[in-house]
This record gives sequence, C-alpha cells and structure tokens, in this order.
Amino acid sequence: MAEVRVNVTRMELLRQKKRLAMAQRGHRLLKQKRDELMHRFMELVEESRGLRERVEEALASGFRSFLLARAEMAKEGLYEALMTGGDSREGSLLAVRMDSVMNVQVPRFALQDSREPYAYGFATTSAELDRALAAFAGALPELIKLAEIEKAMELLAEEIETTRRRVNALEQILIPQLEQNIRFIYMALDEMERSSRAQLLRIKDIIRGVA
Amino acid sequence: MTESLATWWGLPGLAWAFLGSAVAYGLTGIGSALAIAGVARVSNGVLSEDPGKFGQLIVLTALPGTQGFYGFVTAFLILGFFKLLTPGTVLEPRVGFQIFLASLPIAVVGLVSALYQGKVCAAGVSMVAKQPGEAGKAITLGVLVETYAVLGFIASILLLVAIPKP
Amino acid sequence: MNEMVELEYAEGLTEDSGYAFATGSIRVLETRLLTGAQLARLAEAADPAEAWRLLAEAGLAMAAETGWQEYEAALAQELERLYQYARSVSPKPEVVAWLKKRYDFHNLKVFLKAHFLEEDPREAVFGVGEVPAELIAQAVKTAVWSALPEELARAGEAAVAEYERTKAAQAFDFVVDREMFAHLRETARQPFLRGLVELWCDLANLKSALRAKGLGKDRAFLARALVPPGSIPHDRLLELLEFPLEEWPESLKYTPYARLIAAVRAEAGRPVDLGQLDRLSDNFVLARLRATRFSLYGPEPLVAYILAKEMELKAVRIIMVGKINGLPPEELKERLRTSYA
Repeated sequence: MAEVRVNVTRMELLRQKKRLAMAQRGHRLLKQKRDELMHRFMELVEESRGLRERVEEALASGFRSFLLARAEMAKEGLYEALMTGGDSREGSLLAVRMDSVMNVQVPRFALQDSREPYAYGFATTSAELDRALAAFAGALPELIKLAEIEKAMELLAEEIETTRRRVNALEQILIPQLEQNIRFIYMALDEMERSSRAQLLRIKDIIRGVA
Repeated sequence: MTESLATWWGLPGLAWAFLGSAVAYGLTGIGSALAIAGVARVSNGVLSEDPGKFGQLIVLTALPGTQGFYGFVTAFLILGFFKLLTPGTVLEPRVGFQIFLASLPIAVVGLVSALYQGKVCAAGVSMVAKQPGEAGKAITLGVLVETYAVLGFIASILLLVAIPKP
Repeated sequence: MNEMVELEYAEGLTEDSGYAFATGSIRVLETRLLTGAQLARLAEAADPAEAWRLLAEAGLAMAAETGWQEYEAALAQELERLYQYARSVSPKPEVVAWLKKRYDFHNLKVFLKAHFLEEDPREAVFGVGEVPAELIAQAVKTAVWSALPEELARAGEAAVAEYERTKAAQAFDFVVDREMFAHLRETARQPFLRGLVELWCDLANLKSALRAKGLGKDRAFLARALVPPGSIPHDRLLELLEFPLEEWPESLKYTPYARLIAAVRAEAGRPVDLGQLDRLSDNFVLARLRATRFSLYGPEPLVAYILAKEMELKAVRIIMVGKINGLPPEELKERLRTSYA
C-alpha cells in the first residue's frame, strides 16, 4: 500500500474516523443515487424503444407517400407546392425549458406550431402529397418527444458514469485508505503507548533500584 | 335562221351548251381541287413524320381527283357530240338547254361527292398512318363515295347520248 | 389565296381546316406513344438503367441521349421539344399558346412565392412557358405588372392582395389557380377546348372537395380552394362537404363523375383514399381526349396529342421514380394511367 503520511496523534485519529464515516455515508448515498439513475435510465430506454418504432413507422409511410407524390407530379410542380417560406414568423417553433431529473438538467421541448402543413393549392397538386405531409406532420410531435428522451438518456448516462466512478473511487481507494490510516494510527498509538509504558516501567525500576 | 337567233331566258342554244360544258368541268374541278388539297395536307403531315408511306397515301390523296376528270370528259363529249367547236354550228335553244340539263348530274354530284370523298380519304390517310396494313380498306371506303360520282357521270353521258344530234 | 380556299372549305363544310397537316403528322406520332403493353414491360424492368434502355428502344429520343440519372432533365427537354413541334405544325399560334399558358401561371406562382417567402425559385420554374420566366420574375419583384400579359398581371395583383390580407402561402396558389382556370375558360374558342376546361375545372374542384373532406376542412376553406365551376356548381360541392362520403356518389349520380367518386371511395382503407384519385381523373381526361380520333381539320387532335404526351412523360416519371426507389412492379402498375396509344 502507498506510503501513509499521517500525523500519529489522537486528534488525527478522530479526524480520520470522521472522514471515514463521511466517506461511508457518501458511498451509500451515491450508490442509491446510481441505482435510482439506472432505474430512470431503463425506464427511458423502454419508452424510447416503443416511441422509436412508432416514429420510424410514421416516417417510412410518410416517405412512401412522398415518393408517390414525387412520381405523380412534375419536379417543378412539387417544388412549387413546397415553397412555404420555411418559418418566416417571429420566434422559434420549439420552446425549450430545462427540467431536473435527479439533479440532472434535461431539456423539455414543446412544439409551438399550429400551422397547417398543407400550404399549397389543391387544383394542381397530387392528393398523395396530402398523405405524405399528414404522415410527416403526425410524426413530428413524437419525433420531438423522441429527441427529448434520447437527449435525457444521454445526459443520464453521463451522470451514471460519473456517479459510478465516484462510488468506485470511494469504495476502492478512499475508504480502504482511510481505514488503513486509522489502522496505522491505532497501531502507531499502541506502539507509542507500549513504548512509553515500557519506559515508565523501566524508570520505575531504576527509581526503585536507586531507592 | 330564225331559230338560231331565238333565245331561252336570254341565252341562245350555243350559249346553253357552253354553259353546260363549263358547269360540268368547273364544279367538279373545284370540288376535286379542294378535296385533294384537304387530303394532301393530312398526307403531308403524315409524310413529314413517316416518308415511307408515300406509296400508300398517293392513291388516297388522288382519289377525290377523279370527279374533275369525269367532269372534264363530260365537257369534252358535249363539245364533240354537238360539234360546238366547228364554225357555223347552230343549236336550237331547246337542244342547248337539254345539253345544260344533261351536264348537271356530274356537275352537282361530282362537286359534292368530291368534297365528301375528300373527308373520307383524309380520315383514311390518318387511319393508314396508324395502321399501315389497312391501306386497302381505306381505299375501298373512299371508292364507295366514288360510286356515286361514277353514276352521276354515267347519267350525264346517257342523257347526252339521248339528245338528238344535229 | 390559300387563306381563301381554306375559308371556303371551312364555311362549306363547317369544320375549320388548317390543322390538317398537324393531324396527319400527329396520327403518325401517336403510333409512337408508349402502349399499355410497353408501360407494363417498363414497370417490370429490373432497375432504372434497364427501364431507361427499354425507353430508348421504344423510340424516346431523350432516353437515347442521356443517362437515366438525368431523367428529370430529359423529361423537361422532351416537354420543350413537344411544344416546339406543336408550334411548328399549327397554322395559328393561339391553341398551343393556350395550353402553354398553364405553365406561365405556374411560373407566376413560383416567383410570387420566391419573392414573398424568400425561397429559391430555380428548381420550380418551367422552361416551356409562353412568357419568358425572367419577365415574370421582374414584374413580381418590382410590382410593375404592366409588363405582363393582362391575365397574369391580374392574377398576380389579386394574389398579392390576398397574401397581404391572410399572410398564408396558400393564398398564392388558390388565387393564381382560380385565375388560371378562369382565363383558360374565357379564352377557349373551340367547343372541344371549352369542354376540356369544363372537365378540368370539375375534376379540380372534385379533387379539392375530396381532399378538403379528407383533411376535415370546413366550407369556408373549400370555398377558397375552388376554381371556377365546370358543370358542377360551387354550392353543390360546398353542400357535399356536410355529407358523409358514402353519400357522395348518390348525390353526384347524374353527373359523369359518380363512378370516379365511387371508385375513390371503394378503395378506402382510411377516411378518404386519395391514392387513386390522380390516376382516375387522368384516365377521365384521357377518355375525353380519345374522342378526338375522328377529327381531321380542327385543333382537337393536336391538343389531345400534347396532353397525351404530357401524360406519357408523367408515366415515365412514375416508372423512373419507382425504379430508382425500388417500388414493386405491381404497385407501379397500379399507378400507371391507361395508355392513349
């Protein structure tokens, strides 16, 4: 074990003991935190799996319809129909606020877009385009939810990792080290006590002999 | 002498005969020319894209031209039968008018049948453009109209033959 | 001289001549349109390259000149070639110009949207318009409408006014589409063209009504989306919106479109199945075009051929997009229109 540099005093022993108690409490708490984080993480994994499937399905059907619309309409016609000006309004489509999960700051998205996806004329466009855009528009809220969950998962995973590292550090290094320190101090104190007692006995003998 | 100076509706016999001859050729000629013009334009259109069809199209295009030919023959027969080109020929107005009437079947039927045959042939041309193998049928259908031009021609000739020659 | 002869013939036989040459050449070109069997074979092609090769063999010049990757450019080029041909065979420019007007109105929409919504118009402009695209772009940008033909100027001004009022991009499409059909109807001279516009208007309106129904829109919305009425008055269509779709065929029983509506509905898996709508209405137009087979001297065959060729280009596009994206042949065949040839 590494070189131990501690003052061999009772004061120090008390200090080390206090530190050990603190480390052990911290260890217990961190372990609980880690377990809870894992629990939350698994929940998110579960949720995201279902959501991802739904989103992928919706997008796939949207792309299929879009493909057909693309086939039905001339390239020029399709481009014209989809010239919507992007988002020329003030502010953004998405409101973001932060939420705390186990002290982890995760973003929450809220879609603030009530606009029609069908911003084109009906007389000269393919009806298939409606279906494609309906599928895309329908998938958008879930897609954003999915982004939210996946970001939260990413942040949680990071937090779990650091917590795990801390638990390990406490468990593997700090606590054994403190324990060793304490043991060392005890032994050193015992040693000192024994030697001082021996000295005392010896002094007593000498005094007795002299007397 | 007195007879040759007589007139019907202001025209002497010779003038009636000339009028018949002119009408016989004039009307059929106009009909054929217009009809061929109509068919030929369709044919030109076809040939502009498919020059190889010329052989099949030429018959259909020329078919409405026969009326003009019948009219021309009729006009010639009138001139020949009644020696109209011989100097000194004199015709009674009665005979001249008969000649005029005799020329009418080919003149009228020729004109009308030529125009309608033109339409049939133009349709035939567009049919041949699509179905090159069916040129025979298209020609046959055009010839059905031709029948009545031929009948008109025969009627005119029979009438001309029936008129007593001087 | 020629003019006089034509005039007499026309008056005597009540058919306007002049297109006889066009008709003749069209009868030959029609035989070169893709047949149903050829389209089916194309749908079965293994990959886009094979489909393109089959097209080249079928005599499509564009397919022989470029690679299949450039199919979209080739289609645009073929369209331009079609109108060049049409112009070269028609004795008077009016009828072809009438058809080309549709592309002008399209370009007007593009430039309006490009200007007001700050979009890039390049990919959306048709090159075959009657009015040069730059002229339209310039007029929209400067709001000096007098440089444009009257009908485009009127449509442009009305669309801008509507957009200023509603701030919705859809306003451009609604107003310009409406003006386009109104203009086409006003300027259709021959009975055939008038009938065609009526058919277009009816189909466009029915399509709008069905789609409005499918998207759950109200009467006010549909009223804005409708183009001038063909044979079905607007009130009738607006009323239809109140009824469930099952009752539409019954309600339209005495129009030619009952079967179209019934067919759209019969394939329903969802509230309204619009998948077949475009195909069915195109087939409807094709049936009307086929009725021109017997005309000889009028513009009907030319118009029918131009529109049939446009639909052929659409069929080629469907096949190429389908092949590039690996749609199964059955599905492609389901999308293909009946052939005009």
